[in-house]
Parts: sequence; structure tokens; C-alpha cells
Amino acid sequence: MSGALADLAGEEVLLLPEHALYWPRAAALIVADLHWGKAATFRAAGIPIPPGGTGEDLARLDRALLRTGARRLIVLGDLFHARAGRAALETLAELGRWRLARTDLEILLVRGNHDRRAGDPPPGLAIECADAPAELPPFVLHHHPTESRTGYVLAGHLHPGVTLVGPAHLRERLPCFVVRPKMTILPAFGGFTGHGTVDPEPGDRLFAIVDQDILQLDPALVRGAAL
Amino acid sequence: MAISPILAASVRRKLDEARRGIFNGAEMAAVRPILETQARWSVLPASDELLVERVRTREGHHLFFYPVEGRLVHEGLAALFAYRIAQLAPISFTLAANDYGLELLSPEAVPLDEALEAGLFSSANLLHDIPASLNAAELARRQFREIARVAGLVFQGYPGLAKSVKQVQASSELLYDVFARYDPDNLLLFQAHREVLERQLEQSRLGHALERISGGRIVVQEVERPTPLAFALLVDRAREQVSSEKLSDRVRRMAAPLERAAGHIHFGRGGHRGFRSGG
Repeated sequence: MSGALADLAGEEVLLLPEHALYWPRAAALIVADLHWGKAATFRAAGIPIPPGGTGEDLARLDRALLRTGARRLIVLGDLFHARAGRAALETLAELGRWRLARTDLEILLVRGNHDRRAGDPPPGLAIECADAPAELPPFVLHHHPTESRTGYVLAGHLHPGVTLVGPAHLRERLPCFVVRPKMTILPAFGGFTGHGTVDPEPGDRLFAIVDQDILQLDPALVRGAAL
Repeated sequence: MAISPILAASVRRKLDEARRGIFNGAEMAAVRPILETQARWSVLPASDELLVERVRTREGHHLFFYPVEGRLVHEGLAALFAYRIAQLAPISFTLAANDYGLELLSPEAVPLDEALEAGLFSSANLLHDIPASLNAAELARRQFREIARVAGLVFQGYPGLAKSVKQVQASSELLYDVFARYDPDNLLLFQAHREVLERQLEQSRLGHALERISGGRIVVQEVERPTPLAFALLVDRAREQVSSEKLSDRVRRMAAPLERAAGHIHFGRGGHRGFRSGG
């Protein structure tokens, strides 16, 4: 299986090129920042963004679920982008069909900043919601990357990315996992998401998503972890 | 503002005069030491010659071309040359252009002889090669910024309106990617391509420049260090990229030192502070 094996707080996990983290012992696939309905939110505001992104995101999610055999999906916040997108009928219908075909899958949303404005997902999607931090020892599930005394934090929110600078001034921008001593920050899952900035701290390890692979990067080669 | 075709032709004539030791007027007298250094380190091109300089530095393998046709034409030529060379073998370039010339910089040596033989300067197939090179260098993606704003895709909010529009903001690059992926026939994308072709690349001038180049002599100079003509291109950091290598191959070259370390890591077990690596 392509991906990088990591040991976080004594738990073996896999960092996957599908922008997800898999925790085998709990059979849990963990993702962050899906921003469902973002394109629909733009359309509701009169900005004609083409549809199609949601389907592609769901296909990638399915690939990760299938590959890992996960029975649980944990979303570390920002499931829906905004209230308008959450209410968009075409997006909801697509998500509803997807959910109906996967009734065995347990889904937990740890609310993020966008979720507070968008509201909880419609009950039909059967998504359990909890405020951050949610404890799932040894992990503490957060949206904002906030360290915790009670466990190892898994978070999102920052949409971390890196810019690699190589010979001949060649540059590549890649989404990445930021693995810290007490926290791992996941890349944004949604395809139609901007990318934020992470200042690599000493001791951070960066795992970039390169097509279908995960590659560990030397932080010294990374010029500002902004994408 | 890039120089006009008439001014470009005059600059070529002045360079040719300098080559023959003629330095008329205060301006030419002022640049004389620089042009003489250029002649010593490389050559000054005659008006029917295209000078190509190859030089290797710590940054990589540089190819400098000096058609003296103005920056807009050079941006187009840089993308076109990079695209054509990249068709011969997997290679990656960054591009620079100014009013005098253009630069292709790559980590590996460029198969220049092969490229010249394959018709690097040919004005044939331009209708195919120019749009393909625009795509390769993502020039339309850059042009899309302006179009996205005019079309109202990038919404800055109304003046004086306090209500947040944060949830409907996205960068023009992200929008370009979304359109290119899910609505490739969108008229706004078409507009971006057309604007680059018409305004930025001045397609007819590009064709004329190629005809002029192919009608003259090509002078390839191996130089020991970047020459005075090369200098302004060398320090240009706002570079487009063209690559025929796979993303993973490009990244692997940049990230080579740590590649073997990937795969197995241990963090934060049992209150242990810091990292532990290993199997």
C-alpha cells in the first residue's frame, strides 16, 4: 500500500496520498477540511464555478476507504464550507446518494470554524457531531492545531503545503502532513480549497503528497511551508 | 513596457556597429566598456546572427539566446524553445526573458545540437506549438488573474460593505485549475488563452522573429561565465516553468537527501520528548 508508516504516540498509522491518515487499530480513516459545497456556495453568490469537484472528492475518499478497509470516518472539522453550500440541493443529493451506499460506515465530525457557521450536517447524512477536542485515546481530535495535555493531537485547519526549491530555481508546490512531537496536522482533503501557511518549527517532519506517493522532505529544502 | 519592433531593429543595428568597433554618440560611448567585455568573453552578434551562449554555473545549465526582439516576443520564444526541447527528452526548465534575450535554465545539460537539428527555430507547426507551449509554461494561468477579476469570479466585496465575503473568495490560480479541470471549454479560459496569444506573445511578431532567426546564422558560444548580456536574465527570479518530467521525478531530485528516511518514523511515545527514528 502506498503511503508512509508512522508511529504517533505508540499507535501505528499510515499517511496516505489520498490526503488522509489511517489508524488501523481503530479501523479509522481520518481526514480534515473537506469543505463540501464550496463550489455550490460560490454559485449561490452568483459566481459560476463549474460542478464536478464534489464527485471527484468522494471518489478519492472511497479509494482511501476501500484501500484501508476503514469502518469509521473521522472528519477533523470544516466538513461543509458554508451554510449556502450545505443547503445546495444538487450537492446534498450527491452526498445523500454516497451516504446511502455506505450505511455501515460510521462518521464522526469534530466541528471546525466553518461548521459553526454552516451548521451541523443534515440528519439524513447520519453524521455524529462533537465539539473539539474529542478524546479518542491516545489521540485528541481537534480542528485547530492546539496542543493538549491529555494526548497526541490530530488536527487540520491550516491546509498545510510546502514549496520545494530545487536546482535551476525549479519550484514545486505540494500539500503535506506536518508531523510534530505532540501533534500532526493533516493536509486539506477538499480539492477546491486554498492552501495556508505553516511555519515549520525545529523538529517538524514534513511528508509531502506527490501524486500517488508520500515523500518525506528535508525541512531545510523547503522555502516557507506555504502553498 | 516592452520595446517596439522598430526600436528592436535599431538595437540590433547598434550591437552590430559595436561589433565593428563603431561607437557613435554618448549612449554608445557609455556602454562601450560593457560591450567590449561582452566581445572579450563571448562575441557581439552581427545583425544577421543569433547569438546563443551556453554556460554552466552552480545554478545549473544555462542557455542564453539574444534575438533582441522585445520582452513579449522573448517570453513566447522562451516557452516555445523550452517546449520543443522538452519534446526530445524528459527535462525541466525555468525561463527568463527581457528586451534583449531569453534564458532557459535546467538542472541537466540541454541536447542543443539535437534540438537545432529537429528545428528549434523553425516557423513550421507554430499553430500547434505555440498553444502547446503556452499551456506548458502556464502563461494562460497567469493571465487568468485579470480575467477572473473582470468576470467577477474574484469578488472583493462592495466598497463600504461590512458583511464578510470570505466564504466566496478563492485565488485566481485555484479558479483557473477548477475551470481547466471541470469546464475546459469555458469561454473565460478561452479568453485567457487568446489574450496571451494576442497581447502578450504578439503571435505575428513571434513568427517573423523565427523567420529572421532561421534566415540568418546561429552562433553558439561556450562561455566560462555569464556575460554582460546574460546578466539581467541571470538574476531574474520571476520564472515560468516548463517540464516534460514526471512530477515525482522532479520532486525526487529536490528531495533526494531524505528519501531513504521516509517510510518509518516514531513520534511521542510514552511521554518521550522529541523524535525517535528508525524501524
